[in-house]
Amino acid sequence: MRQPLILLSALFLLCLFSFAFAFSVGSITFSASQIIDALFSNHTSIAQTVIWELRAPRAYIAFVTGGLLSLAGVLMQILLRNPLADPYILGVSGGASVAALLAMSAGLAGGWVSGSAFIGALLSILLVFGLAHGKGHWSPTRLLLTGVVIAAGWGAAINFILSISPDAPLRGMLFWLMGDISNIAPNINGLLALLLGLLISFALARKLNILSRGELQAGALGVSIKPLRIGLFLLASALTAFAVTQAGSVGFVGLIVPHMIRLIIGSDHRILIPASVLLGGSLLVISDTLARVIIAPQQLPVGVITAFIGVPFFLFLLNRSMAGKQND
Amino acid sequence: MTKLQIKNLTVQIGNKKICEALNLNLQPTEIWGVLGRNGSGKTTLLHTIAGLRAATGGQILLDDTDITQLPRKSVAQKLGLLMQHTEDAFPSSVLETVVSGRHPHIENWRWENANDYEKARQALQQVSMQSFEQRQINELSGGERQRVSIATLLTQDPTIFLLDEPNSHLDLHYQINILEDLCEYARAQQRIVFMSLHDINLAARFCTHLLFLFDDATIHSGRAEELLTTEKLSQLFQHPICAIENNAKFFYTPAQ
Repeated sequence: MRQPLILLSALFLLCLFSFAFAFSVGSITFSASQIIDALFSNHTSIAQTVIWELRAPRAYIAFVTGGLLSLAGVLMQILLRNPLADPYILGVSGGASVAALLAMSAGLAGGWVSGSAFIGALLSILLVFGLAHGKGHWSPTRLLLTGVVIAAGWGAAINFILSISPDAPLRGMLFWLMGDISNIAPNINGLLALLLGLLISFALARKLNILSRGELQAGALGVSIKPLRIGLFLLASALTAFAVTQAGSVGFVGLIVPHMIRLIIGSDHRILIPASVLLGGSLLVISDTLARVIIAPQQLPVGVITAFIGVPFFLFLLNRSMAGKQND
Repeated sequence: MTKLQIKNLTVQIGNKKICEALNLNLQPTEIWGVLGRNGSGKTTLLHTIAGLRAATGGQILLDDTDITQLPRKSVAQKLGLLMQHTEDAFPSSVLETVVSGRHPHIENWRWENANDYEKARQALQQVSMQSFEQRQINELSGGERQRVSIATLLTQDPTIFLLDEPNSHLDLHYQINILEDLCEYARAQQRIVFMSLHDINLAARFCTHLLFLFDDATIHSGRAEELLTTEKLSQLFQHPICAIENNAKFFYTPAQ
């Protein structure tokens, strides 16, 4: 019982650090005292303007997005009982992207793009799960493969839309695709979705622990599988849709984060869920800050940073799980 | 006292009938063995009786209530199932795995407490795995993993034990020991055991009742001594089987 508390406290500190990092680094660097002054005193200064109007909203969006993606990752992994499942890999982000790009090429902006992305994400999930279910058994492997193939299909659709688009909206489209949180107005929707999702999944946590041992075993131990499965599916989809709507397609956060927590503390979802949200949020705040400063004054989309971290990590995990199988 | 009634049960996978209009009345202290060839539907029958698979027709009554009408949690408080295969997708320690058997007995908002862990440790001791508590389940051998599954079921402590090949992967020593302990426990604590087995001699040694699943969905069930005849066994396994007597006990072995 002590270990989880230490981990959660450490993650909370990481979380504070990530925000401090985001507030201090950029075109103008602020010291700790300047940040504290800007945050807690009333007199106006450059630091106050820059932090409150530029850096804090962005860090907030990054944190919420990271939290949403990590939580969605945890839920999808348990639903598919596959540690490699992730909203990005399952093609959800792809579906959202296609819908968002279509909206952009129709000349729509703002809420329309977000709304389309949301619907695109949900449609994509329905498509993946519907196709994988078919008439037969709903096997996790089949679901993952279907997701990967659908993701490839979305990729082609994205290329198609990009290649027939006029130059004007192209840059915005590309940034959206790469996962970009520089142009989003801070809003409460994502945070509410995150808190609600956190609450629901925390309440389900012990059932999720049992579900991780397989659907039949969970059924035998007294978990009603069907409602849980549908609930998880809807919740994970909605969380992903909110994240993608906020930040475009940011890959691999939902994959890396839960895995790191599992390596440290094991698979108890009562710890895994809050810890993943904290780590995912912090990780995206740090990544986004790096994205701002690495080749400043130019900004990178945050999705580039997460992909640079995520791809090797995914391959490492895949390799490890294969090696594990061979040892059996 | 918990009782399990099977009424007019018909089970079908696709077009293949496993059993038709099966009627059984399982009473406490009875040890049932299900014998049949590969693919005769032993596992499917067990899963159906556990309420994890819809029956094609008929009912499973757990204390006079249709099992499909009961919440899964109250079913799991009375009825436990040992699966033939485990799905270990995520890392988990032996103790964590075994304590998961307490799930149906823990209120929704409560965490496992010292008492639950105590029960899990006792169960581990019963299968001689007490020194494995902190080991990861994916590092265990097949037989050790099977003993962890059995310990999980013992931690669940249902009144009805449904066991699918409980002795698979187990050494001779554990095959005998674990079945002996379980049957002893069932007799002393008024439990029902209903298990599929491959080994006729283990069935003869431990079971009070037997159920033969023939390939054509005919079923013979009844007291063990009535069913254990070389003709019936040869017909069931589609292979000539002879009996060898030793110390007034019969042992069954394939002829030639």
